[in-house]
Amino acid sequence: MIGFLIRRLGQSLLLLLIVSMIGFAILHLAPGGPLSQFAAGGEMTQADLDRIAEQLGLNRPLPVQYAEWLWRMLSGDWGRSYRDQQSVLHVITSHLGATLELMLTSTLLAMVIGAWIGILGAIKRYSLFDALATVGAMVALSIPTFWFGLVVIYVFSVGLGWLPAGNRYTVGDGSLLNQLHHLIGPCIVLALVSTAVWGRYMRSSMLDVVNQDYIRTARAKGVPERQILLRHALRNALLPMITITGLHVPTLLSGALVTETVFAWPGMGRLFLDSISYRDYPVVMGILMFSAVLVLLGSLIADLLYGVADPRISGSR
Amino acid sequence: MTINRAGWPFDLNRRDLFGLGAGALAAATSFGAQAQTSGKPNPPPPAKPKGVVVVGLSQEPVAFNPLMPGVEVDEVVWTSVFNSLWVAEPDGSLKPDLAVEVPSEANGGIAEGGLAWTVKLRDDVKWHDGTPFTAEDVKYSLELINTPGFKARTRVGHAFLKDIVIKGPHEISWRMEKAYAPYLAMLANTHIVPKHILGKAGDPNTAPFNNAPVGTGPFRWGTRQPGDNITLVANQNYHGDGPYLEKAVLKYVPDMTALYAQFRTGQVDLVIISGIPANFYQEAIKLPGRKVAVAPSGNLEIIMPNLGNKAFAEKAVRQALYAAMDKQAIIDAIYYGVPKPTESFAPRESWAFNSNLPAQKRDLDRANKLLDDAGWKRSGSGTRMKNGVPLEFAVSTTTGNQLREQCQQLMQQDWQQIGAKMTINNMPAAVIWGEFYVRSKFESLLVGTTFRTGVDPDPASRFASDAIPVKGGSGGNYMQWENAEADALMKQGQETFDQEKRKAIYLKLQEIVREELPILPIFQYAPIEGVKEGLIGYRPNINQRQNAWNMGSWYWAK
Repeated sequence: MIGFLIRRLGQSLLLLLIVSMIGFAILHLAPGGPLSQFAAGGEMTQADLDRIAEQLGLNRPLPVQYAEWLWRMLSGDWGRSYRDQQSVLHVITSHLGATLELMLTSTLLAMVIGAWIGILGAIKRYSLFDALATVGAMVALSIPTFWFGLVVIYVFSVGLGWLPAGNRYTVGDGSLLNQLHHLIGPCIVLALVSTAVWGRYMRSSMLDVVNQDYIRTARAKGVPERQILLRHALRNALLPMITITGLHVPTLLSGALVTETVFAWPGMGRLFLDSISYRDYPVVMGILMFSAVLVLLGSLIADLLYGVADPRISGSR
Repeated sequence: MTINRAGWPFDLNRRDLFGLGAGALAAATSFGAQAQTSGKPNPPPPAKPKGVVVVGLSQEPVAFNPLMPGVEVDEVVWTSVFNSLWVAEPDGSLKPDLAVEVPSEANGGIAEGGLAWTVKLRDDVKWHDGTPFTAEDVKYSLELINTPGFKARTRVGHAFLKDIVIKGPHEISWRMEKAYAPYLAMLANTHIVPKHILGKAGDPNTAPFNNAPVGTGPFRWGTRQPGDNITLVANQNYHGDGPYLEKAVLKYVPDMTALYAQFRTGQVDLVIISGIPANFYQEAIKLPGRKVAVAPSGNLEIIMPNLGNKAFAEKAVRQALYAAMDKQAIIDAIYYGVPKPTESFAPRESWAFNSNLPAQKRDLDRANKLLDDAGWKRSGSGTRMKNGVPLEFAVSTTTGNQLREQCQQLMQQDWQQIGAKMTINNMPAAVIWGEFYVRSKFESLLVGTTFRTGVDPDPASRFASDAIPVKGGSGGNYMQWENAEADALMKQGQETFDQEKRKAIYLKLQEIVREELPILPIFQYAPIEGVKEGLIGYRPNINQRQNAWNMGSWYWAK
């Protein structure tokens, strides 16, 4: 087990290094830069722009910039945002809470509803419910999120006046009730797509299991159907879901770009988009590394949990 | 989805014009302080700050040190938290703020032909932490701008400063290396920072002050929720008018459609800068309890030719292209007839605006004759040639800007008729406004920009021969236009402090630019802004970069 962990950590570090190199190169080689926005306005002269580029160190050769960035990262300094001069870690952590709140709520909602639809669909395969669930999932997956977000705002906020048209809370009223009220809209939008995804996963996983020999044996033994479902089928069907959950962890923290934009939700997805538009290199690199670590960590945790859940896999290592 | 990409204010303003009905500009004239209470006289402001205003912005303010680089949304914070020595009013006049009076040759504040300046300061101003404001703060701010290593936004004008002397706690003087009249306007947008705080910071570029600014303005810094909002709190010890609001919340809503929805539902009280998407204009003007209108803007939509290109270097070619352009069709068909065509680089509202420039009229015969006379002969393909050089060029603009793309297509058709082959080469904002723009790598651009120094009509940083970056200049003359007569006029304009004399100079300069056409002007911008009824004091100001410039004097009718 320890050997496995060390091996995986070693691979992960190498991967992180490669990710950082590729990310840094692509980001910096893309034309334009953090000063383009000031050039467009015409207020700052070329001398001003050149001076600031020099001060930011943007004129140095790319390998030098990368080496300096890497050295700083290794010493724990993630750099400072070009946008608001705050430290990158502070920028990232100040957006994490909002994203975690939204993603965790919508994912839990989607997992519960999705799992229920998936299980029911698998048990009652080819029934009307299954057909409706399948069609519903296809529709949910096909709807563009930004469009659906605007429809939710238009119907429930502008039309019916039931929900706020965005934001995380009303300024001056940070009560839990107020926050929950604001959470409903974006949560519905995000949960819609996720429910479809989780439902499809659950359904196919469940279908794999219900056709296994041991289920038939259990039935032949006269085990009650409910017990077969809960003790035999579901437990085994949940195994693949562990991997999917592990891989889903990064999404929980990296945020939902479009939904956060439409609902003015101050999370990571929005931060990423803003930072890219601004060419805020330190923050974009920070988010990239943060996400990369999460992906590697998520898959590692999934592997470990899988081993715990299924002793056969644990033994094969 | 209409995401306002950070930092490209001019791209999206253009969208605002889409779908506007006739009469929008007429409505704009009444869109001011008087317009909020449906014709009734405005009630007096409250005795104590009362109520909250939520200002909706589609870009997030992130730069809070007013001497460092920032865009329009950042200035909303600057003008509320800080003060400058004087401010530019909607009519273009300068009104004293931290200074007792605006220095002039008449009052002796400006002497020796503009080389010696003396400014008397108010003695009743306090920083938000209670420390008295003095001439030391002004000296520190001006010196900081010129400090090597400090990421100052601009040193235009400031670079001429020398011998800054404190003559008393509330009087300061300095000398200029050369007479530079636009400096008055530059100072109107130079906010004064506290020496007792920033001066003690190790590195002013990364000082904690930059994220919790302390100023002298009508509002104190409150809290910031990154990516969401900034709350400013009334400064009860303010030296000027107001503040009448207890709090001002600057709410960041990245999607313009969602921002408009929040304006509709009343979650935000006003939408400024990027404004309301124009496809909602007809609906927005009918909203009960809301005032929506076109606010004036000093930005111009132009074709910017690169005169480094052989074809564009010839005046006749530029004139022919301008003559063949159907400006009115562009404005009517694409922009619903709302923006007014312009012939000048100066905004219509400027005191230096020349209203007597010849109006452009589509004249294909004239365009063809100009090219024939200049020796551009039609080749077999229909494209004109001269000395082996085809009359062929690309027009670039920001990818995804549908109105501009339609504009390009119209021009392509117009110019094809006179044997000029135009291609379209569009790029994303961060790409086009990078090296491609500032190193004059484009052939020509369809761009929205300004040609003034702050609120001063001086366009030297955009038109002077020594302002061409690719030729070692330090300005923004990306067209690479060189004209000795214009250079002389601009130099004269900078050295003259008498407004009447300066006006004569700029009238002449506008004639030259209209004749030489280093830019092909199309129209002046007209963004749509919306305000909740009952908010008193909102006054659009073309001489500021944003219309929350006087937020200290805003209040609610009830």
